[in-house]
Amino acid sequence: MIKIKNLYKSYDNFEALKDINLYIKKGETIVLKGVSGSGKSTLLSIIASFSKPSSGDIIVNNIPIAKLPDIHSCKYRNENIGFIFQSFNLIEDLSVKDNIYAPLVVSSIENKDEALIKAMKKANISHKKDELVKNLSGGEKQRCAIARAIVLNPSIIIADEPTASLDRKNSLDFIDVIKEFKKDGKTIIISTHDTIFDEQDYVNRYINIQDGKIIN
Amino acid sequence: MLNKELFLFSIKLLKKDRSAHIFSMFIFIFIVFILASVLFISSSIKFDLKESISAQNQIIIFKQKAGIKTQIDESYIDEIIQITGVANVHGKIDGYYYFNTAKKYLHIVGDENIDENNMIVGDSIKSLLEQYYYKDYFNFYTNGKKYKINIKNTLNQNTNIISNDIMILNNITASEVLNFTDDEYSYLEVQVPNDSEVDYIALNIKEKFPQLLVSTKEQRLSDLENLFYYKGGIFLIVYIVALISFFILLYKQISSVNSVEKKQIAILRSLGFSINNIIKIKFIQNFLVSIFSYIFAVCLAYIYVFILNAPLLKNIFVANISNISFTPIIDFNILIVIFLFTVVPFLLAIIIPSWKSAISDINEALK
Repeated sequence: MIKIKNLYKSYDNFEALKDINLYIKKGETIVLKGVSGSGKSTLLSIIASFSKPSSGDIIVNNIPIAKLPDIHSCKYRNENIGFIFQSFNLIEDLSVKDNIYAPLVVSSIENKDEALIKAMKKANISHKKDELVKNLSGGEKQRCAIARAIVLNPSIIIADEPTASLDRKNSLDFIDVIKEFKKDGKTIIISTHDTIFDEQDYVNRYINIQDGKIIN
Repeated sequence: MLNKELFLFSIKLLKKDRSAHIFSMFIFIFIVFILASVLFISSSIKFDLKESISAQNQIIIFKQKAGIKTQIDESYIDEIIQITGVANVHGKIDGYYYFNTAKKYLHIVGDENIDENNMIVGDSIKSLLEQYYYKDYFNFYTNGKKYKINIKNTLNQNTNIISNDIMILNNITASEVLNFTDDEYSYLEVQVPNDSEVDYIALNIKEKFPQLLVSTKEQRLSDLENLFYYKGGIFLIVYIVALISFFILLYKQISSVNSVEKKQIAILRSLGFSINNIIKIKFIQNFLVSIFSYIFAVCLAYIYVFILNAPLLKNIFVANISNISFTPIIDFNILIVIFLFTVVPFLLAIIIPSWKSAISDINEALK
């Protein structure tokens, strides 16, 4: 469950988000739509606790994250959020396995190796586990990023422009993965302006953002 | 608490970034190597000088004329021996003979236990004489007279720096070679059995003979300490300036927006690594790099100074001795000082920029 109330975010004199009020139920799939610079990524980064709002409240899985100290917000990110970036944000000179294992390094779960194998299998990247990320294709990098996002079995999956760096086939593959996540009961928030996500039955809501405001 | 997995992950990142660490490692090794070599040499020389002073009698008396040390005559012996507490006084022959062909001064020491026609030479002197075809003997020329003295023995190269550079001759021969008269000595050695009386007797001699320079063993050791504090101080100041410049350079290099490094920190932060975790990773990586470089450089300096006898650097300290072996002395206080002066600032120069990256906005760094 994500509850956002009167949320504002400004950078210097620029207001990136204005009076955002949003309620996302557990297991819902939300697609945020809007042009570049409309505030979609800023909203996602606040939900993921990458940055703090200037004002307002945000409660995720009963945790008020707006003013969490660093040590707690790291734990929150590690345990609750699986983030898939547009440019994957993998460590290029590390192997696939090491990249996927990275969130487990600071996690306190048991059976980390089991979690790693499960995530690689689910993202269909096990066969490339020892390959350096820099040697992978775009689709393989995406699968590696997906495996890393789900390795700790988070309840919320956030994807920021996930298909922007992919071709049509890999984009369709990604949609299949999203459907899998949906089946697993995860809350999914996708920010995109790719039409591939339009009128999809697995999407519960489309939210349009314009100039930092939700317009529907 | 240091988490094992964080440690192993840090090593993986270190291996990945090994090329980035090579430059700082190379400079670090060079700095520690030079610093350790210089300190090894100076502590070895200091040790040898201290040993030599310790082997001397408690009081040494010189005569000086116009501030320059000159020969002291035998007549003082009879008067000094009368002073209560003095067990014995004897004259010592010690001076320099100018070897014109080699354009070098040879240090000559007199010893009554050696035959008149023989001498014992230090290894360094032996090598020098051999260069001029004096393998078994050497001809001294004084006042138009030739003294052919046989080389009976050579002092082992591993003996200390002083004995490495001396020629030990019979007292009479040494006296003649140095152009002393029969009743002249370089200095007098005063034997005082009771250590607590040394200062009092030295003062007594000074008062009786104001023209003489009286020096106790304690004073000579203290002068030696002062000399090394003074020399070491100058060296340390120069070195600190060099070190500060290096660390400023390193700090600037690291903080000058290494975008890959910043992005990597942001990626880890986005995965749940705390600021503390990032600092730990950087600490582990750079502590390993610096400790490895430190140990490597100290071992290298040890080999360079005590096995290879410090070629090039040796000339700065003992230019007139050609063949010398430094006594292997390791002062652990010096190693700790080197550690504190190098490893600690190195870690700070790297951790501060990393900490700055870790506290910056994750979102901005990932763009």
